[in-house]
Amino acid sequence: MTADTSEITIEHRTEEGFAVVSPAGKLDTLSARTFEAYLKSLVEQKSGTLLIDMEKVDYVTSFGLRSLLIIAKLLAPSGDKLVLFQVNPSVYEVLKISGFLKILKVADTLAEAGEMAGRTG
Amino acid sequence: MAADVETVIVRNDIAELPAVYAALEAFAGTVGLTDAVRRTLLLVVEELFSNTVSYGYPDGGKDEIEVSAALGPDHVELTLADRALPFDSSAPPAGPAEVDDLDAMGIGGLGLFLVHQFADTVVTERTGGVNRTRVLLPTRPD
Repeated sequence: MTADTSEITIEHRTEEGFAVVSPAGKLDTLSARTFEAYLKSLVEQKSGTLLIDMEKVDYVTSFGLRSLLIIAKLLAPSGDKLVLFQVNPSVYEVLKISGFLKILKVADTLAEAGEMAGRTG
Repeated sequence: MAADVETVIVRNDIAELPAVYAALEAFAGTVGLTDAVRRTLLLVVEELFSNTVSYGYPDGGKDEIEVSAALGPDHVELTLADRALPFDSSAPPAGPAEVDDLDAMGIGGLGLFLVHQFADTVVTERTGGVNRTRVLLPTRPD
């Protein structure tokens, strides 16, 4: 499955036993709904915990944060998680300022993200 | 110094955001902004532009929004001018609640909060029916 708008392209694969989603572009008011719909589709397919490779995400605005929050809330009842990894310093700063580091898991690498996803709590 | 200023005039339509981005990306390249400052500039313009377009025209009126960026000695000055409903972006909103629980997390007002966190100055003036919001973004390292 892939999604493509002028602002973002998204694809996913299965790795380390997890669905690994790779968005590329900006996560903003124009692209957030596409991103959110893509992830919702994976949630509906019972893909379990989602690892989001943020390496190619240039920046995330409040609309993007909103989408991340919605998906994390959708995953929570089943005990699944949303784990971001390879986040650039600008995106990390936005997550920190907005308080999202307290509610989302952020890893440096895919391997670390997989470890975090495997932990309870 | 003309090369250190970029101005674009677009319709009050969120579909115009890519044109705003393109102008500011060109500005960032011309003046040599770091990636961090370029990203902050684009984030801030997105938050302000989308706020204006989403809430500033409840009757669906047509308008043109002027967006300009200029390089100063230690900052980028971003200005948005529109004829939307009066809105004062200079009032810093409350930050996100200190929560560590997904269910308690909300994001109302987060966009303008982010703008204030990244900017040294956010000033809105309304003159002759025109809202002019001026934002100073630091270019120096913290």
